[in-house]
Amino acid sequence: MGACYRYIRYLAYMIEIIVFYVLEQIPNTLPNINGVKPLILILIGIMIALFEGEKVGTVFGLIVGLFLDCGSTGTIGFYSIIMACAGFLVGVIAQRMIKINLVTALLVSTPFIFVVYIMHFLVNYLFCGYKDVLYAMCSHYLIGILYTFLLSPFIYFFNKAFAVNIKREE
Amino acid sequence: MKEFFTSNGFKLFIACFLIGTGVCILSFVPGANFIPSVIDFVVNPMQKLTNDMTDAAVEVLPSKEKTSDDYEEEIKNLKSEIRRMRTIMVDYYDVKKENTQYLKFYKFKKENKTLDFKMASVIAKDPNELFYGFTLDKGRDDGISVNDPVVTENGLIGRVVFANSHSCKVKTILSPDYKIGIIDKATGDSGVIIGKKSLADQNETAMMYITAQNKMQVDDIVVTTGLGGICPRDLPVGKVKEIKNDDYDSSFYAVIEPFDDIKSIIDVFVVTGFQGKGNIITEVLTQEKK
Repeated sequence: MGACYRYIRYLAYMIEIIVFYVLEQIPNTLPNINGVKPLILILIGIMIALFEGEKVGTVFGLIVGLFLDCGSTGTIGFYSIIMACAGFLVGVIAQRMIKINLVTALLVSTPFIFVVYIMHFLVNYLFCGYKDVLYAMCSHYLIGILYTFLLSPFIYFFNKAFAVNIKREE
Repeated sequence: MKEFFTSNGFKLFIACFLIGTGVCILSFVPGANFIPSVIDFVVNPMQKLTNDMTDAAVEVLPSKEKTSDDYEEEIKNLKSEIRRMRTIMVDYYDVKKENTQYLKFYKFKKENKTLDFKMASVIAKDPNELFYGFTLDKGRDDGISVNDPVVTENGLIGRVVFANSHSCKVKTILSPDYKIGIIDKATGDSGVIIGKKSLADQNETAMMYITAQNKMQVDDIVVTTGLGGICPRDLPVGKVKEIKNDDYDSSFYAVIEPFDDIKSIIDVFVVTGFQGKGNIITEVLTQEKK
């Protein structure tokens, strides 16, 4: 019976990923700041890992990364690798080091949001030899990091609702 | 019995019967039908008065009142009519949009008879894409392949970098990855499009490697050279907005403004075939051999 609730939760996570992927990609659905939109799927991958642990976190991190790779014009596999690693690390931290609440969720998710954006900047911008490095960092990446961070409480509560409500009562 | 027939009542009856019969006979005699006129003379004013009174009464009194059920039925019918009209309006807007697209398609085909192309629409944009690339709703199954130029009725806007079965990803001319040879139609000065982030945010790109002796002017139109066989010749790219010195070296470059706002593009054409596709210009090959 517990397994049934678990699979329903995973199905809910998959639907959540698909819905937010579509919302992110379709033009003019989310408001933008200076032409920059948030990467909500990163938050979803991190929050799933936070509530479910390292194994499930790694798998869903990989799934989130695959979705992001499908939508991007950059290197395929870039997001998959990063999000799988992020899912694993967040899962380990959440299960063994911290007690899960809003503050710890924000403290854990912030460095990973930062890492994903910085890796994207390094791999897809700096190492490609593009000009206007500082301008790109300030006008796109920093704004993206801040905007994504601002949405993390909402995604935390959204995923907490799944993790708490779709669970066998002990 | 005898008393009945001799009573005053019976006599009166007989008299009236005879008078009535007489009047009847008289009415058939031409010139002798004055009795209806006499009756009219007496009755007509009263009829008129009564008619006037009833007309006035009709104007003053309200018409037959509808019941609440009647009103509800009427509201229900009107709502149903509104729903039907809304459906028709939605279809009308779809048809209107389709018509506009077909008109663009026809106009573009008329002006570019040597091009084969497919119409496509933007369906997705990566939120972390710095140079406003996008995804289209047509792919390999529709005849689209990698490196196919993407244009609008105003000019070139990008190329296909990845083609799935039913969708493809496009990099725009604002991207530094999109390097293509262009030429100033007025002066003959040539260069290469290489985008920059600071220009891309303002819907501009850069024409690099222009000589110091260039004669380019503001508002000159730049077009594709067609060298390399990747893009058709003479496809409009944009107009010259400014000529500047590069910040990193002393070379000249021109700021090019495309004819479309690439950030808000919705409908495009993907050029799937053109004259000279895949052929490198012979003069270039000859020069390289020398």
